[in-house]
Amino acid sequence: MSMIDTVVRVLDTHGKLTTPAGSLAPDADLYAAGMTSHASVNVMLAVEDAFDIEFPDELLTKSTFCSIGAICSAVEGLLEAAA
Amino acid sequence: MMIDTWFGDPESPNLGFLHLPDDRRAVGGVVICAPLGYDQVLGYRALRFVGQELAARGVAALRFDYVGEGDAAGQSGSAHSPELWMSSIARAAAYLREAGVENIALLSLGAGALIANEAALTVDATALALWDPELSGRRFLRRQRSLFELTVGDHGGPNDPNALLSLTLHPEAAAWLRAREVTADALPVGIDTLIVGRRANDESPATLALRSTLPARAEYRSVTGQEELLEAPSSLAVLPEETIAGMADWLRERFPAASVPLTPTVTDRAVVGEAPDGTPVVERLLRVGPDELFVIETSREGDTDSGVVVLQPGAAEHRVGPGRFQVLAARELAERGYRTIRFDRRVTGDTTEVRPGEPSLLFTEEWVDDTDQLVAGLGLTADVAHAGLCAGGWVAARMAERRAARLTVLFSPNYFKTAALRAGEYSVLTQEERNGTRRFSGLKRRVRGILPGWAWPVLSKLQLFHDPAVLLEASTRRESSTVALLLTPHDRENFEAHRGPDAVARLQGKGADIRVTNYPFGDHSLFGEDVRAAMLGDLLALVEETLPRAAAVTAGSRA
Repeated sequence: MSMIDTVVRVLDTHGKLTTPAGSLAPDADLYAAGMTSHASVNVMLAVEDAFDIEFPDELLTKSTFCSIGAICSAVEGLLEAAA
Repeated sequence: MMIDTWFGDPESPNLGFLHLPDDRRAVGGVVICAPLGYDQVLGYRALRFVGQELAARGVAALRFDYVGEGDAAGQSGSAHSPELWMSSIARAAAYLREAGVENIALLSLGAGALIANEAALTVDATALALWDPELSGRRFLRRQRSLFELTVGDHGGPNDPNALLSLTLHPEAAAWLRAREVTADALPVGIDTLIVGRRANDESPATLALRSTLPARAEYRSVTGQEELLEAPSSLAVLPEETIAGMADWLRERFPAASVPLTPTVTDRAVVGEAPDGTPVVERLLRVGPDELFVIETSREGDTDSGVVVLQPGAAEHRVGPGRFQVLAARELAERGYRTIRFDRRVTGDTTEVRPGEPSLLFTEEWVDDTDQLVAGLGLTADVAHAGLCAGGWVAARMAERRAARLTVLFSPNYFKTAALRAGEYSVLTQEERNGTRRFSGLKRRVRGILPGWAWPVLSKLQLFHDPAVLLEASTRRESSTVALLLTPHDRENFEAHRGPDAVARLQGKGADIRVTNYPFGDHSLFGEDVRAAMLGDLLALVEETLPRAAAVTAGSRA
């Protein structure tokens, strides 16, 4: 499963979005699509489980989780740093 | 039926609520172990409903605040918090046994599982139910830390890299929690255990590992509806009735068929501190008025002649999490020679039984009536202050229409109409706001920006717009009456958008003593510890300036 597919699956399970994550553009605002702060934390923890990574404190901001693209970009950065 | 009582060590008492079957006989008893963090705030009424459901099945249930949390004695943030959580559970079990209960079970919610799982063997529990358990202490701390950063972190306060949402933890206590896990190996041996997890976590590695290795006497149930209870604003929370009924049935089946009579000890007075001169600070539990409002009165022992401060929380919350500022304020003020009152309004905390689907009463006339009922029932007279957060501050301001007050303090006010909402209306408005379907809000915002100065008071009096002058007019009408607005940056922005500075100037022009304090940081709900401490300090100073202390304190300070 590709990174974006995994992130979409996590968002569908934990994001509380009003529309399926797969129908959103990579830069669509997830908060505008119904994601709450609580849901974004659940998304973060599920993404951590899926990729075996941990978001550092400096990435615990709304902008890290504001879109599918932003999440993928943060995950890529963390995976590269770990490699 | 429900009994309010202090219990445990008289040096550091716990406040508890004992649910009993109406015939005062029970087949067993359940110690309800509260969650930590914001779940404690959002899950409070749900756990009361659990107590009700257990009592309806012939089981006694005790809810309580851990020492250092809620209305219990003690300070939060102690290095000894884990011992205090564990000993609080042990005291609750001992209290039930002393009342006559023979078999004890534990039920926890959220991170309460990390404590209850440890305590089950030490209290010789018959059964253990872990509702929506946090399976890893480390993960719980990360969740609370992330929630703090995502909800409060951008409010510009001093940066505390260890701040958690709605929870103050000493590093040693955090280390204890971080090392706790609910795994198949960590479950207590020889005890029937029910784990009720949320469906969305079915595929998480921790849940998969737990379920694949469950010991023989453990059962796992996957449920929906937890997010609707614990991840929604309190005004929109939905009670998962089916889940609660299922847990209550499971617990009932763990006890024998025959019931035994119970004779619980009821203690309505406790010493919770000490004034500088050594006089005990005492708290009394009261039920007041036709709705039997749950009330805690705090004062120095013997003080009856001081000014009285009535404290109210925000939203539909009570006194855990940030709402504990009321407990700290009450005890601090009592030490200084003032009497304080904190209480639960209808459909909050421990006033009124939980009814599924009950409407939120935020910004309704019912809560003004409750406060009026409280003041009348306690016979409070002229030297009274009303202080409240957000909706509690709105009630405080509205009280001025009915009774005189020397001081009115509004923490984080954001609702400036005197027209009350109907029961449940706030929940509808919140939902519409979330869905983006609220009518006229954009139009009102645009009109608000261009409305000429003369038209503003006219339209505001018709309650078409929020106008601080309309809400505060009654509070400032009387001589010797002070009004204070304590504003975080976001609330200040809202205050200014509703022409608050003009309103204050107009009222001051008529001779009103009205003060506005702007804090350079802080969040509306006072999750941030710094803004909470700053507002608490300002409340103490305002009370000391405006209300008389007990004569004994005044005489002492003169001597």
